[in-house]
Amino acid sequence: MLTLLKRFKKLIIVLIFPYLYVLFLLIAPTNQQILAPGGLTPVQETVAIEGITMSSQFHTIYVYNYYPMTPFQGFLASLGDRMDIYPLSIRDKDTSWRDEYLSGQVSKLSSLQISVIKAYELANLEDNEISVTYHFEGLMISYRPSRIKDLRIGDIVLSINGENYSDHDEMSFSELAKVREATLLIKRVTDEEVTYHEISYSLDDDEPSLRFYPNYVIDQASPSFTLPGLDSVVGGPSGGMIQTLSIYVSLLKLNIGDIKIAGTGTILMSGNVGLIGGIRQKIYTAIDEDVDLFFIPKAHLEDIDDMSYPFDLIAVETIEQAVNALYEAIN
Amino acid sequence: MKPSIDTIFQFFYRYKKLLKLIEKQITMHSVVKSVLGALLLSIFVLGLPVLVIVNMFIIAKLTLFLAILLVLIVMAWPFLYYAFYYALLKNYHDKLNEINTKIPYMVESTIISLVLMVIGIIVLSVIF
Repeated sequence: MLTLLKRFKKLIIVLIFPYLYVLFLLIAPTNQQILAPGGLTPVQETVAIEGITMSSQFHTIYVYNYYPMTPFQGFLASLGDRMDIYPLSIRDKDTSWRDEYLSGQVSKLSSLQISVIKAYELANLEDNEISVTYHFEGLMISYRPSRIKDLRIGDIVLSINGENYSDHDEMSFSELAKVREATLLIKRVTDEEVTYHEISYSLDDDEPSLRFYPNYVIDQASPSFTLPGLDSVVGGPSGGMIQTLSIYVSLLKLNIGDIKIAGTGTILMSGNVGLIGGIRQKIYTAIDEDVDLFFIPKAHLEDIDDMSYPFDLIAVETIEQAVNALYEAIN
Repeated sequence: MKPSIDTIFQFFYRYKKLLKLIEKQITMHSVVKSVLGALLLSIFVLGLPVLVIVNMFIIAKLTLFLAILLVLIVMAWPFLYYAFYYALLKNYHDKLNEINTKIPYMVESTIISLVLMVIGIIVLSVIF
């Protein structure tokens, strides 16, 4: 082989430095991440309700988050305004790709639980045969500093420093969880086997705090439902509002005509619609996917005031406002 | 129809004969060195275009096009690999220059390329 390489010695010497430079541009990690437009996921594939055909018009919207960004990707992103570059936070740097995926699945599960509950409650106002009972059962961990190996993403926190979830509502228990030094009683489900563990931790001053999502257990729902969307790789809580709307419309069998609806915004148990990341990229995705009606949280209006879009944009603060806006759009 | 089948059989007979001739000349040591060298050189050549394509996956609109391009590059890889493999073998064994290695090169590259094409199509149809 060396004889062959010696034959092309001059060519190799000339090419090796540009080659290494380009290789560096293509693989060197930076301390930044890119948010880029993504696509739509039909809510129809996320929730299945017994005896009911899910409305096919509702879509959640996802964006791509690439990290760490390479210098070449940074160059590509700077060519247009469809992608945004953000510095990696301490939390981002501490999160592996696997943890990022698990965190997305945790937030998706919590979001789907709340979506089902809110949709059934709203539908119950129109049809009292639709009902749901549920209870709050602790907080699911969606981030913990990676050095705390005993805690896993997806663990359910049942008690914090001796205070049990059953003595609190979501708000007060979440407040308790903000402590930087704690002993937690956690419930861990591994391959359908449930185990309980007591784990103590103390966070350093410069360490990011743990992140949680509420865990609501649905005791009974009529009609019954399943969540096939839990098997999908797309994660995150930002589909909460549109999932709630889709389940609501499907439960009441509302005829909303032939329109393509998408939306973004988390759903909270209070009914409030929460903020999401990458709103501009989501607007670009909605433009690409020819959406007719797009729901967003009202607080995001100022982030997109310089953008133009061909669809009807509905900005809401609560799920009730979203339902009313949908009725207006249908009529 | 019959003449074309005869042509194919004759072609494969020739390929087998050439392969035997090549095998008589080469040693296990030179084959191992040629395989490793060919792998290294082919990955060196195709590494950059593959990395450029992988980096460009951030452009969502181009995802399908880039995936097809990636499959095409993967399909082109056996041709490059076998070209380097036979070049290195000839480098180690001068007598191979007198043997026609074009037919074994084409047959082996095409078979591997077709296998990779099938795998690529299956992967693409699962993802998209």
